[in-house]
Amino acid sequence: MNWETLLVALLGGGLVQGIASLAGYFVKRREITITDDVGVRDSLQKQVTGLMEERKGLVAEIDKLSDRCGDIEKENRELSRQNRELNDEITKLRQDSFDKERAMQNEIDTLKHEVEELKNVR
Amino acid sequence: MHAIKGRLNELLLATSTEYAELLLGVLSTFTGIWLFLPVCHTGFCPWQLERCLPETWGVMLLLSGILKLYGVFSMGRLTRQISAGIATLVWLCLAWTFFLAKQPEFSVMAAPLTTVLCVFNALIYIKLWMVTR
Repeated sequence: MNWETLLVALLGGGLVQGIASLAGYFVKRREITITDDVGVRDSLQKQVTGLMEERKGLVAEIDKLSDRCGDIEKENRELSRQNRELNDEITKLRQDSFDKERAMQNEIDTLKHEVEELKNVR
Repeated sequence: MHAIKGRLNELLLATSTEYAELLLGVLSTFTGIWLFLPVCHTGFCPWQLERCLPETWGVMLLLSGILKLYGVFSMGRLTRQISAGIATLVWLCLAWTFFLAKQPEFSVMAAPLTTVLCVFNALIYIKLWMVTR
């Protein structure tokens, strides 16, 4: 690499760095101006107060929803218990019904048998 | 007007250049590898070759490309800035030699292309410098 190329690299690099430094300086100054602006600060303060109020409302709503959730859970437990009881009752009734049906069927069979016997005797 | 100014400020300072850097990193890496191949030597005139061998630019571009990709993947701001700086200088020197080269058929395409890539890398360098100050 000869001296001309090095010179181009140095000048170009210096130029880019110079532009970057200058741009960085302006950006920094702009940020300071914004931070020192009383109007902007007041407006931000108001926004923060508003957000804090909104947060309070949201917290109250969360508490209310939490209570409601607890009630629903309790209700759900009660309904589950009732459901279990009803299921037991249904099983019991089905068993009874089945037993009665069996007994009646046996009785019918016996009567049929007796009728056949009487026919034979006659 | 104020909204446009605010949006412009937001675009210049708050948006990410990582996607562009990823593409430029891939481009630098492949151009760096290409500069090692003997086929590329036909694009350089003796005036350019006596100033600097293409392999030298190749090494620097490869280094810058790999650094850029590493910086983008590892989210290292300083690595990205260094790689943008190296790439700016390499593309600048390449643009300079192509603008002054006595081989018009290749240089007419290569000179503006290398200038554009130099400007892209310079802008990324400037942006990274600005946001971290």
